[in-house]
Amino acid sequence: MSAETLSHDPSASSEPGMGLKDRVGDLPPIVWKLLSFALFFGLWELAGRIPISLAFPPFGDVVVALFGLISSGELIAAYGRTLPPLLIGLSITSVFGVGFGVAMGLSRTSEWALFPPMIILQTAPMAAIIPLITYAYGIGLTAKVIAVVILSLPMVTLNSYNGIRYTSDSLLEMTRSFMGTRRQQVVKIMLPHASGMIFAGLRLGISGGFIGIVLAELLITPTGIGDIISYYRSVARYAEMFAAIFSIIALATLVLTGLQVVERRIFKALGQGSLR
Amino acid sequence: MNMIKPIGIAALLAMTALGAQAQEVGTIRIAEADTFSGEDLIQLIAYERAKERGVEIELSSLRADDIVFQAVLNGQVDMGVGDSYEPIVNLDAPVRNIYQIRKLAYIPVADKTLYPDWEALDGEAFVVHARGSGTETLAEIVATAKGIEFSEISYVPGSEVRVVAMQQGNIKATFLDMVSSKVLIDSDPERFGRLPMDGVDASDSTLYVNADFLAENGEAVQILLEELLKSAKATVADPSWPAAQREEFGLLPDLSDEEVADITPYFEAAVAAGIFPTDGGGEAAATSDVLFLAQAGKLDPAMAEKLEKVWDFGPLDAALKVADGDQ
Amino acid sequence: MTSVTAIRMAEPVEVADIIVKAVDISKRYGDGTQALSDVTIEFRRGELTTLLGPSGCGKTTLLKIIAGLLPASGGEVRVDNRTVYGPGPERAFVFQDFALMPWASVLRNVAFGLELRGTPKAEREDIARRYIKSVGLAGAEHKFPSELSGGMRQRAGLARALTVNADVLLMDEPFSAIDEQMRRKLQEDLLELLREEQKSVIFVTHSIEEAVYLSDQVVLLTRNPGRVVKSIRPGFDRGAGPEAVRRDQRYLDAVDDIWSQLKQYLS
Repeated sequence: MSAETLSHDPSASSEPGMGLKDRVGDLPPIVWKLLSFALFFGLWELAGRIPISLAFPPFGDVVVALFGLISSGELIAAYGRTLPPLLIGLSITSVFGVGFGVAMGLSRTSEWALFPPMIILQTAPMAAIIPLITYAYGIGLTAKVIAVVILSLPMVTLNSYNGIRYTSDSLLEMTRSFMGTRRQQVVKIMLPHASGMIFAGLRLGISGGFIGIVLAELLITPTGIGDIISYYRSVARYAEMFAAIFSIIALATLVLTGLQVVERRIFKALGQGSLR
Repeated sequence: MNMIKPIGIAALLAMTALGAQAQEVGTIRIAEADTFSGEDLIQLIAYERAKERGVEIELSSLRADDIVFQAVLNGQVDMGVGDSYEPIVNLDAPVRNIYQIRKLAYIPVADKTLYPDWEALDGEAFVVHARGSGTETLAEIVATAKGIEFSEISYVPGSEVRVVAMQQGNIKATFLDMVSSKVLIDSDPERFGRLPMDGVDASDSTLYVNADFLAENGEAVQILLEELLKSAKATVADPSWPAAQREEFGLLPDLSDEEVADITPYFEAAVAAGIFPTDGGGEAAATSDVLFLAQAGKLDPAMAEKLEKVWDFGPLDAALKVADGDQ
Repeated sequence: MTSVTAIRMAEPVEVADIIVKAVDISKRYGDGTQALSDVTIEFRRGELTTLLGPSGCGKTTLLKIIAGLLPASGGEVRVDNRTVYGPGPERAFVFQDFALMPWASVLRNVAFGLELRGTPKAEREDIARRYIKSVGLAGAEHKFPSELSGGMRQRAGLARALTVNADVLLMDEPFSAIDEQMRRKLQEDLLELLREEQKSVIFVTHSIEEAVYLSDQVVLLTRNPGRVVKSIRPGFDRGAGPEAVRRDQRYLDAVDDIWSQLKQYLS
C-alpha cells in the first residue's frame, strides 16, 4: 500500500497540464487520510501557539513529550499494565458478544433473557457505574476487565443480534423453497448476512473497550495509562498528559484499522467479496 | 466517594449576609477540591467576616485539586485552596500562593500484626490518598529515608475511607489524618498502630490566587487575609472558638449532632499539633514546602532561591501589619 | 427426477396432463382476514398458467401455498396427483425481489439450489454455467448482484430455478420490478426458453397484457375473499412472432374480455 502510494504520488503531481482537481481526485485514499490528519494537527499546533490556554500545549510539544515518555520506558511500562485487562476484556466480548447476539437472533428465549440487560448496559452512565464495580470486585484486574466488558459487550451483542434478526425474509424463504435445512439457513444465509454488522459491532466494541479501560484506570485506581494521564494532569505537565491520551487514541485507531484489514481478508478468503 | 462528585458542580454554601450592609469592596470566587466539613471552619468563619467588611465570597467545591488549579489558571475562579506548587512551576503560570491554610499532619498507620515497623514494609504495597497528593510525597520521602522500597503505591481517596479499608483488611498500611488515625487505633489497639516518623514541615493546603485578579483586587484580598489571620489566631488561643462562631453565623447547618460534637476535639488536637499557622506561613512555609517537594524529587531545590516564582508575599505582609496593629 | 418419472408412468392416463391441482384451497390469516376461499384450479403439464387479479386477491398467497412456503387453512395441493405438504424438488420458485445473496457471485447464486442439496461443487457449477448461458448471462458469472441491472438479476433468479431441474416453475410477479422495455424482452426470452425446457409454469402477475401474452391459460381471481372468477384460454398462435401477437385480434379480444371481467370487481 505504501509502495503504491509512493510511486503514485510523484507521477500524479508531475503530470503537466492537469488541473488541481484532477490531481487531487487522483490521490489514493491513504493520502487523503494523511492530509486530514495533517490539517487537524496543524490546527492543534496553531491553537497551542496562540495559546488558547497555558494548559493547552502545541502539538509539537506533545510529540516531544510522547518521545520522552517512550524513551524513558514509562509509556511501555504503563501499557504493560493497561493492555492485559483490555485484551482479556475484549476477548471475552468477542466470544460472548457474538455468541449472545447470534443466540438472541435465533432463539426467542435468549432474546427474551438477554435483550433487556444489554439495553440497560448500553444506556447506563458508565462513569457513574464503574466506581460501583469496585464494591463487588475490588480494585484489581477483575474490576478493570469488567469495566472493559461492560463498555464493549452490548454493542457487539446488539449488532450481531440485529444482523441476524433482520436477515432478509425473502432470502430465508428462498432457502426454504430450495429445501434448505435450518442449519443451512443459519450458516449460509444468516451468518454471512450478519457478518458486516458483526464486524461493525466488533469495531464499536473495541472503541468501547478502550474507553472502558481508560475510565477504569482513571476512576477505579490510577494504573497504567490512566495513571500517566492523572499524574501529569495533577502536576500540570499537560504536554505529557496529552501525549498519553494521544498514544491511546493512536493505538485504538491502529487496532481498528487492523481489524478492518482482517475483515477484508476474511471476506476475500471466503470468496464472498464485498458485502455491499 | 470523593471521586465521583460531578465535575464543576458547585456546592455553594448558603452564606447569609446577616451583617449590616458594608461598603462593596469586591467579589472573590474561591474553589476547593473538597466538600466542606467542621475542619474547614477557620476559613468559613473568615469568609463570613470578610463578607461583613464588603467582600463578597463565592465558594465552590470542585472534584479534584488539578481542576481547582485549572479554574484559577483560566480565570473561572479567582482563588483556589489546595496544592499548586508543581503546576505553577511546570507551567510557569501566573498564579501565586499567598497564604498557608494548614500544615500537613498525616500519621503513618499499619496493621502491626503484619508490619511492626517500616523495614517490614520493604517490597510491600502502601496506600495513599491520591496521585500527586501530599501523602504520596510523604510516602516517597519516608521510603527514601528508611532505605526501603514499596512494591506498589495505590490510591484510595479519603482518610475515612481508608480507615474502613484498614479495618476490613483491604489495605494494610497507609497515612491517615489525625482524627482518623485515632479512630482506627482506638478501634483495635492490638492490631493497629502508628509507625514512627520524624515531623515534616510542609503545607497541606495553601490559598493561591490568579495574579491578574490579585493585581486588580488588592484591597479585597487583603481583607480576606486579615480575617483568615484573625480566625487562626482566635482558634489557636481558644480551640472552642470555631464551634461557637459556627453557631453565631449558622454555618454548615447540615452537620449531624455527632459531627458537631467532634468539632472542638478536632481543633484541640490540631492546635496542639501546630497545624494552623498564625502568621499565614509566609517565607518560612514557602521555603519548607519547596524543600519538602525537592526531597521527593518533585521540584528543583534551587526553587528555594526563587520563591517569588511560587509565592507572592506582599498581600500577607500587608495583612500581617494590620492584624498586628490591631492587637 | 427419476422418481417423478416413475410416478408419472404409474398414473392413470386421464389425469396425466394435470401436473398441479389446487383443491378447495382457503387461507385465513391470524387476524381473521380471509385471503382465499375454496380455490380450485388445475394446471396442465407443459403449459404456462397465469394467476391474474388485482392486488389483494391472494394470487401470491396461492402461489406460495402451492410452493409449500405457506400452509393453507383448508384444502390441499396435489403435484402429479400426490398431496404435498411443503417445498419439494419438483417445484422451483422465482422471486419478485430476485432473492439473490448480495455477498455471493452470480455463479454461486445460480448454483445455490444445488449447493443446498449437497451437489459437489464442480458438478453444480457446471450446471449453473450452462443455465447462466441459456438465460443470456454468459460472462457475468463472477459479478455480484449489485453490479447487475434488475433484468439481469431476474435472469439469474430464473437460472437458479432451472438448475434444480424441477418440472414446475413458480414465478411470483417476476418482472414487476423491471422497467417496461426490459420486461418485454424478458417475456420473449422466457417463452423462447420454455420452448426448449418443457416446463410447466405457474405465473403470478397483475398485468393483463403480460398474462395474455405469456399464457396458455389465464385464471382470473378477485378479492375479498380471493376466489376464481373465470379461466380463459386465449388460444392464438405465438409462432408469428411477438410483434404479430400483440396485434393479433384474438390477443386484443382476450385482453378486452379480461378487462371487462375484472372491471366490475374494482369498484
